[in-house]
Parts: sequence; C-alpha cells; structure tokens
Amino acid sequence: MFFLNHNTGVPIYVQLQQQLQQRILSGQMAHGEQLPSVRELSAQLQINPLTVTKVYQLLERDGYLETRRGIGTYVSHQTPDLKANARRAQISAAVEQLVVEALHLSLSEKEIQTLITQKFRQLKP
Amino acid sequence: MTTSRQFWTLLKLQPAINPAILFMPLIFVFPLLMPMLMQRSTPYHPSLNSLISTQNSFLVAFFGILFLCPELFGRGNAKWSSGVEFFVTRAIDRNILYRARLTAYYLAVLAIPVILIFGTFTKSDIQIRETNPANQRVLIDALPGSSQTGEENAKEKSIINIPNGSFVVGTYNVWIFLLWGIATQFVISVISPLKYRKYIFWTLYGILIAFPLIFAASIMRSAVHSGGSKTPLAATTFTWTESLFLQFAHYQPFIWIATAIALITIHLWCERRFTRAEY
Amino acid sequence: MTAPIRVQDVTRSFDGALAVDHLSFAVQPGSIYGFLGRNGAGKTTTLRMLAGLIRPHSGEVRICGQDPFTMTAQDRQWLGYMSEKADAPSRLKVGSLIQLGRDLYPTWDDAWARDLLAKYSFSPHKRFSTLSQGNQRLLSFILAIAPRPKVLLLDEPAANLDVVARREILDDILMLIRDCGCTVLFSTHILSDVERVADEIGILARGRLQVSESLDSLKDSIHQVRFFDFLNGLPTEEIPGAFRTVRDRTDIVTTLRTTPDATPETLAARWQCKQETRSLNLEDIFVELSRN
Repeated sequence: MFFLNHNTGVPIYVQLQQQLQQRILSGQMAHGEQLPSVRELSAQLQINPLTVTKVYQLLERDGYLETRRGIGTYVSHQTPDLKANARRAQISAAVEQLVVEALHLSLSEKEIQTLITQKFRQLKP
Repeated sequence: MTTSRQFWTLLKLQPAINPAILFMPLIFVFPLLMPMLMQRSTPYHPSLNSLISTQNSFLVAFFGILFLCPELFGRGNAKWSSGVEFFVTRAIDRNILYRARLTAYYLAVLAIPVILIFGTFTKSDIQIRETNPANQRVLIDALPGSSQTGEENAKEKSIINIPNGSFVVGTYNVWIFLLWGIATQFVISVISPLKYRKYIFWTLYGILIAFPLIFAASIMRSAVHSGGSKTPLAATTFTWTESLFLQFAHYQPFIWIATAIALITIHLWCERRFTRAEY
Repeated sequence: MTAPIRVQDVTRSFDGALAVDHLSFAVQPGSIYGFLGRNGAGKTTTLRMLAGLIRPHSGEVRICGQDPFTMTAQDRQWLGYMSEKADAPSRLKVGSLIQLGRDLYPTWDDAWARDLLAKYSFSPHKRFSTLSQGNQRLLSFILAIAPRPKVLLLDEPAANLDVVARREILDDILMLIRDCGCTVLFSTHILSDVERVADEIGILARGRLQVSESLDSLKDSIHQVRFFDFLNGLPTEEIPGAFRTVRDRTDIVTTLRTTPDATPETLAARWQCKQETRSLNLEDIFVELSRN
C-alpha cells in the first residue's frame, strides 16, 4: 500500500514516484516483479489513471521499470552502478538538511561524523 | 432513439410532469354542460344558449398557461418546475419535446368539446323561436338547411328549424376552444423569452377578463340610451358571440381549412422559437 | 484527435455585465479538468454554454467538434450534464426518471444505476421535489453518469453533499474515467476534491482564465520562499514571477512561480542570502492567486 496525501504541496505523482522508487531500491520489490496495471493501481489508490501512467513512464525513463508490450510493467533488472547513483542522489537532500541544521546549531564536521558512526553501529543489522 | 419513440416517451410523461393537464378537461366541461344540467329532463341538447361557452372559454388560456408555462405562476421555485432545462440537456431533440408537450396540451383542451359532439348525434335538430324578421332572415341565410315554420294559428312563422343544429353548435365549441388554444400557444411563445413576461402575461389576462365586462356594460348603456324603444325592424339584434357563430355556420369548410393552416403555421413558428431559445 | 471539450475565445454577458471574457481552453481526452473560481467568476455560465443551454455572444464552444446548442438527440447520448440547481421536473418520481434514462440512452448501464441508487438509498417512489437538496443533486449526478457518457460536465457536483457522499461521487467519476475513457469537466469550490481527482485545473476570475495547466506542474512550480540572512542588505527590486511579497527588516517572504532563470537558488545566489522553500497545496495557491 502507498500513502498518498492529496492536500500537501507535493504533487501526487511525486509522492507515488518516490515511494515506488524507495521500494525498488530497498529491495522490497524484487527484480522482475510485476507491477499492478495502471487501471488496477489507480482503482486501488483512488487516483486518476493518468497519474499512474505518468509515474510508470518516469520510472521507466529513469531505468527502474520496464514495460513489456501487451504483458505488463515489471521492475527492471538494474545495473548496480546506476542504482548506486540514484541512491546517492536520493539521500543527498537529507544530507543537506543535516548539514544545514548542524551549522545552525554550531556543531562541527567532526562531531557530526562521530554521531553518524554511532548511529550506523546502533542500527546496522 | 427514433423520433417517434422519443415522442411517445415524452408524451406519456406529460401528465406525470404536470397534472394540470388532467384537470383542464374537467374545468372546461362545466360551462358546456351547464345548460344540460339546468334542464335535467331533456337529453343533451345544446342550443344557441350554450354559446355561453364562448365567454367562459378564456379558461382555456388560464389553464393552458398552467400547463405550458407554469413558471408564470410560481415564484420560480422548484415545486412548479416543468423541467425544461433538464429535458433540453438530455438525449432528446428539442422540437420533439415541444411537439409532445403541445400534443398533450391540445388533447386536454379539445377532449371535452370533442366528446360532447358525440352527445349531439341523437336528436340533433334544433328549433328556436325568433320573432324579429331581420334576425329570421339572417338565421336562414347563415345556417345551412334551415327553414322557417310556424304554429298553426300564428300570424307569422316564428320558428326556425335548424337541422343538425346541435352538431353545428358542438363543432363551433370545438373551434372556439381550438382558437383559444392556438392563441395561448402563440402568446406564450412570444412572451416566454422576455424578461418581464410575468407582468406582460398578467396584464394581458386582466385585459382579457375586463374586456367582456366593458363590452357588456357598453351594450347595456346603449340599450338604456335608446330608451328601450323597439329596434327598427331592419336591424338585427344578435350578440357578438351569436354573430360569430352564424359566420362560422355559414362558412364552415372554409373556416376549418383556414384554422388548420393557421394552426400548422403558428405551431411551426412556435416550435422553431422554442428550439432556438436559451434556457 | 480534437479535444472533446473546446472553448475558443468565448464571450458572454448578461444585461450588459460581462460574465465570460474571451475565454479559451481545451480539455484533453480522458482527463479530468477542475474548474475553479470564486462565486460569480463565470464557471456556471461556461458550463451552461458547454451543455447547450445558452449561446456565447462571440467565439465558439465545441463538444467533440459539435455545437452543443444544436446537437441532435443522437449526439447528446454521449454528453452527460449535471446542473448546479436541481432541475428535474419536480413531480416526477425517482423511478420515472430512471426509466426515462433507460428509454433515452442506448448505453444506459442499468446495473450500475441500480447499484448507485442502492448505495445512496433512493426509493423509486419518492417524488423529486420531496427529496432533500443533497439527494436531488445526487440523483442528478446518477442520471448524468449512468449512460456512461464520453463527455461529462458537472456544475458543483459536491455542493450540498456530506463528506462521505462527496468522496463516493469522486470515486464514481474516477471509475468512469478508468472504464470508459470519459472526459470530465467539473466546477467546484471544494479544492480538496480537485486535488484528489483533477489532472488539469483552470482558475477563472471575473470571466477570464488566470491559470490553465496541469495540477502537478502548478504545484511543482509555485512555492513559498523565505529569503533571509542577507549579506548585503535587502534587495529592493521586483521579484520576477512573484505573486505576493512581504518584506520586513530581515526577511523577504514571497509566493513565487519558478521559471528556469528565477529559481529560489539563483535568486539567493544573486542577493547573497539563504533561502527556505515551502511547497503549497492547492488551497494556498488558489488564495494567493485570488488575492493578486
């Protein structure tokens, strides 16, 4: 299931695109797994089918999905390099926010790195 | 959907949309049957007296409007809505919608007068007493097949025999109602798009009711002025409704053809106006 | 393929007052166009012209290439319209109105109509005038969509409806889009409804179209930006693409439509300051545009 908020400033297609991207990158959706059809997904989420079409097209353009004519839309078999770039791009916004906040709180780069290392140790499985 | 199916579908809906169409015939029947109700012993036998219907047939206008344009009565609220906007935005042809409404309207207007004609088939001949020689001459001329007869001992023949007289009176009533129907249809079609149609309608209606009263008052006044003296023998003393009837009786075929042409022409004009109107 | 709904340079006035002023827009096939505007902006006038109830004084309106004012019954089978007033004949019963739909429309989906009647709890024997206002409009909605039209015009479909019913009719509209490739134009005050289903929106003000573009691009391009920490003092120049700007001693807050050469980043770089961007939902955007 996807969580879509219609009343924010973030367009629906962006929200859906990000969430789908997330699931593919994190491995929640396996390579070669079939996605629901445009009709099914739009019915499920109660959104305009054109929005779903747009998202599928964008993800296909970025290499996350592939369409097999007449059969359906599938998660593509990505090359690891492309995926790694995308992952880094995804997290750069969060990193920027962290750095800006750190500067506001007058924390040094070294202190932040220490914090990050601590968190990795805590959370890494 | 074919136009004929559309037509029947819309026609069948008219009584449900506006029940005034069912009341109309009942209202009209009273003026026509009043003479019969007053003489309970005899079978229905309209005489020239039943031309009273001419005066009362303005009811056609009143109830016709109730059916054709109920918005003129209400304050434009939903209870009186005939749903024209609704129908015009459905899959119908506007001219068929108009035709169905008008067919229902004419059926209601003419139902009773036509039915009453059937009551004239038995004992259709009329005999009336008329002593004024000028009147007698006009009657004989106007009414086809009429003749003058007299009682055995009378000095002059004062009875006019009118064969099929009731039938002629019956058809005359149908004609009057038809004329009122056409006039109402025409007036509604003309004033419907106007902004002040309610005011125009009620003014016209007021004049309509007032006119016979003014006319009757002027007749009475001239009778008073003439001091009740005998009218000269050469002058006729028919009321205007009786004169109209006599003209009708004399020129029947021509009048029916002219009326049919007027009906078709006016209807087509009104239909076109309806089709091009904005809602 | 021509746009199923096309309004071209249309003008219309009433009693000398201009209701619609050289309006032009088109709705692409299969899309939902949300028509917004304050009261008296001209939305209902436009919809009535598209439905064929009134004519434009200049310009033309076309539904699937035809003039809706003179469309035949055959063409109208594909056009569904819901008025902002409850306009069905007041004395007809619910059952008669449904039967009329069955008779007039060969594409009438009776099973769906019955489901919709059951969903909204309509009794076939009630007269139209005795229904509540909300129910009258719901019935008008059902009568408009049950024939599975190719073009659907809805004038304030959600007005007078409770929250649940509003959500339900939006779902019904989406179903029409999915199953029949219907093209929908609806006018509304309720912006959250538009955000749910519309892909294009038009904002009408005093008879003119202020905005006509996809909802996504509107949300993508209009933001509220706060410029602060100015190294060289506050700039006094006009901000390009700004709707509303509030300046105080240290900050500038502006609602901005970003263009390739006027993004918050480039402006911040030019003025040597920091910037903070907040995206706006449709209600915020609408209010900002309306105040302009």
